[in-house]
Amino acid sequence: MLVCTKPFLPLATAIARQEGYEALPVVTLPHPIGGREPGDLDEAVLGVVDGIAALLLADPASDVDRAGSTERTALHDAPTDPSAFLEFAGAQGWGDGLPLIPPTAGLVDAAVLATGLDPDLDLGPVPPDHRGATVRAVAANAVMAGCTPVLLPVVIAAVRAALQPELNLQGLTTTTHPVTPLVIVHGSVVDELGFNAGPNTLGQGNRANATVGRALRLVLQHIGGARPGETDRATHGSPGKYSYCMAERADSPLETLHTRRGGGPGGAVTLVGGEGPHNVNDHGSTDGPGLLRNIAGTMATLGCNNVYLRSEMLLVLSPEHAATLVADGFDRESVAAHLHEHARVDVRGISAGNLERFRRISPHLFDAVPDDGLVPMLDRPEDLLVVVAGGPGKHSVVVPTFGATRAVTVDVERS
Amino acid sequence: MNTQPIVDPLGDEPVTEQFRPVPRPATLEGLRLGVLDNGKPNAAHVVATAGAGLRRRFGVAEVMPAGKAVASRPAPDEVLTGFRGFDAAIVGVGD
Repeated sequence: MLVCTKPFLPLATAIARQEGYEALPVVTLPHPIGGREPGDLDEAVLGVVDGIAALLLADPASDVDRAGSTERTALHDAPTDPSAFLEFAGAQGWGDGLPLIPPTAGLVDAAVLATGLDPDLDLGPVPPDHRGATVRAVAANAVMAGCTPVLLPVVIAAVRAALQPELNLQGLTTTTHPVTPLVIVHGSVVDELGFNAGPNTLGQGNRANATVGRALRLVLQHIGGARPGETDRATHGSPGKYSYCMAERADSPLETLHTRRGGGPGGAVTLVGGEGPHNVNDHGSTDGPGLLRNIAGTMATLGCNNVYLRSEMLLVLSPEHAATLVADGFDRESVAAHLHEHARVDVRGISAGNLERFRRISPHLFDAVPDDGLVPMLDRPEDLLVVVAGGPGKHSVVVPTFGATRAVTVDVERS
Repeated sequence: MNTQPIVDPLGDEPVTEQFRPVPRPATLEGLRLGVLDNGKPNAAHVVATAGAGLRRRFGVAEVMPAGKAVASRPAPDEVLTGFRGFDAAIVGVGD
């Protein structure tokens, strides 16, 4: 049986359904459990012991009978009026709050055709609801997001990447953490399909960036059932949950992410389970070590998951900052090695409660470190992903990740 | 109101095999109860307290702790295998 805090009940039900037993008995406790003295929880826990015993002894309930309700309607009759369509979509639980393009049969057919794939091909179950991402359904979401048909192969690659186990989509879409998959588009597809790798690459203003990122989010929300406040348990969420897509500059003076990740000739996408970008304002440093000192300081932030869940961080260097590093003899490897060495948090800044938890979760780092020691943000230099993007200006950005995730790269396949 | 057909964006329903629960025990007396600390703060305390209450009030013989370090990753195989040795188990979702 399952003990669950009340706000997490929809997620608990989704997970039980995922495992084929939606009728799993659940007892709820008041929220929260964390951030409190353990003894303060005893009254509430002991108050549900009788209920736990009753459910452990009760005959197992027949699971929810979904026979007859598992066939989804292939087509809906929807209003043609734009405002009425938005009302209709809202009533279905669809959408991100912004206007949607109605996925008419004609638009979806054109989008499917652009993939070169069978519309019934199932790319895999999307957590937490585990519905199957058919090419047709992915195309419908891409149309709703505003994608042109030529962008569909990029959306398909992003969905394939999202479903790779290393990314941990289940964790990314259901956590309280403000994380969402960042789609980095790289290789020939960037220029050929009009992605913006230049000024404001992480911002608004480019249809390819905006709609590919949005299409992936709608896939996660509609097919995966990641519903905000229900199965998507994000405390605040992130602006990136509307759309989070950028592109790599082909003229990177450092080894490109595309090369580093083994991307194919048709281009590729790399998905990173990232927080929002954190600025590295550096107008003053004129040499590589000075700039890297500032970047290391930005990476070494106590509030991010990487401190104790480890894994990767992403550094998006502006072209000007990249040029400063290259002029001083740095390459991608030496940048990563330098930041592995110098991006460290001071253990004295970590509360006793957190330190006890960090020691339990990452003993390889925290067991040996003295109470006034320093802990590196990265286990290995290879855990830093480096990409050059953006326009003129003395800003780079650091993207911490969820920690329990690793980046995934999938080639874009265009027929 | 004018309407038009649109394609459903929700995808295929899952083909998850339905889980078949084993018959429940008639009593908790003398049973081995597994309790999972899912790695969230205070989770170990909550399930241990619940287990202790079940032992005191219902005669559970043994409360056997199991754990995983990180809530957002599945439990390791050895932990799941360990659950086969329990007569009943309590796991948690929450924060």
